[in-house]
Amino acid sequence: MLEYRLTALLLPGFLLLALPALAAYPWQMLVGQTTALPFLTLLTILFGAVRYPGLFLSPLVFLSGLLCDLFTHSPLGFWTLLFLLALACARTTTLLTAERGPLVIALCLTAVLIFMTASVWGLTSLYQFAWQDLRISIEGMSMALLLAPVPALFVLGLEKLLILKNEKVPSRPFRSQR
Amino acid sequence: MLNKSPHDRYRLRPHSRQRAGGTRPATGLSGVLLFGLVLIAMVLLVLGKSDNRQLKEWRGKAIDFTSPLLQLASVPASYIQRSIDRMRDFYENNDKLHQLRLENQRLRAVKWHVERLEQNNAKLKALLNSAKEPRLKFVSGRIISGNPGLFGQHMLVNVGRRNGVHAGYAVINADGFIGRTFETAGRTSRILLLTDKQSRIPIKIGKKAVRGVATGTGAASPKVDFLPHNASIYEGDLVFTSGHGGDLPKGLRIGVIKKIGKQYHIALSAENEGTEYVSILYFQQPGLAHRQ
Repeated sequence: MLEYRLTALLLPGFLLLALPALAAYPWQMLVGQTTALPFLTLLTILFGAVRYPGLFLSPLVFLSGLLCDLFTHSPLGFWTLLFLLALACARTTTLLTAERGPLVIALCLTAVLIFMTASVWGLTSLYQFAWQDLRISIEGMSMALLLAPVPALFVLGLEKLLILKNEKVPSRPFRSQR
Repeated sequence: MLNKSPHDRYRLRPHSRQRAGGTRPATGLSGVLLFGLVLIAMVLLVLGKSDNRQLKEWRGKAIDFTSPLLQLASVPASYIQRSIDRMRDFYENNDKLHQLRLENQRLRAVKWHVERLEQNNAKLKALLNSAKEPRLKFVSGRIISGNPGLFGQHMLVNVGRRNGVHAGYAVINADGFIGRTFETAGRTSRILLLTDKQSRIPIKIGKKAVRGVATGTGAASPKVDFLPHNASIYEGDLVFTSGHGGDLPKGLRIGVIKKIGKQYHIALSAENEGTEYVSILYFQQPGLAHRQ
């Protein structure tokens, strides 16, 4: 139980602090220019908070956002606000789809993804008082979706290894208690 | 009733209606906390927009504090980059060797010519009693962070105010001018790249030294603005910094002119991708000193 608790504390902490650091990594040396990394953190929060709503705590998400702002030289509060928005969306999705099938959950998450992409673009435009290129946000989100299996596999691997040694992962965040 | 797994412990606590099979958004302390943090993030955004000096200072200190971590993290990237370069070199060695021999021959001829011109130039300057150009000193640093973000194209380099670097200094790599410093902290400086939308660099073009301004567009090739009427410039003309305004040294190589549609652009000679080390030129000119 102790190792479970430790992992439960460390896993999101590690993910949410390591991913912003990855966003600051000089990737242009290796793979050319990419804006996908902050979006990848956003996706991790979104899907992570749907899967483990109790683990992705808002102070941790706030700290992750601040680090991301710091490392990517975005205005302080920009990614912080978006990450918190993603957390709120994830919590709402979790509660709204509690009794629904996987298709509904998938549709909801797709809608949330579109909403988050539009939010990134909208907030960037609002901050700079000029319409920004929507393509940059779409490209960033698409790239992040392609990269998403990497943190997902990492989380699932650890989950199998430590968290749920002999337990099955409940496929749904909430089940009917009846 | 399902069996409880340890996993359930970390799920949101079901609300009273949840127990009855309904769903309801999370309320209570976690909701209030989330709302409070959203408000703080908004305040930070507004303060940032108002160009708060204290916030900038704090940000610089925070970057300084985390720079060793970034520096450490960038080591594998540069190692992989060097390995890729080495492999590429290995495969292209024969071709390169031949090219280098040819280039060497050509450079020997040019060297002799340049030496003669330098001697002539020195004699003429002595005759004119002209003012000496300031000698450029520089400090080199490693890129420790930098990706084009939603808010521009910057790089973070591991030299800062402790090394005498201030905002506005020119930054070059082995191929030419890449940008200028625009924010400096104790141990780090942020470089605004030529390609950034906020970048404006006074330039001269071609043999006739036509003046203009290189304006960043966010794309790989900055455009050329403020050209004189009927300026005669052609594709392939070399572009250098003009030094006008006194902020930057003159004669730093930027690239060559290319035409896209009716607009002149600059194909940069120094690529940002793959840049590992850069040099920051100390250049104290009246224009820059006055502004600081």
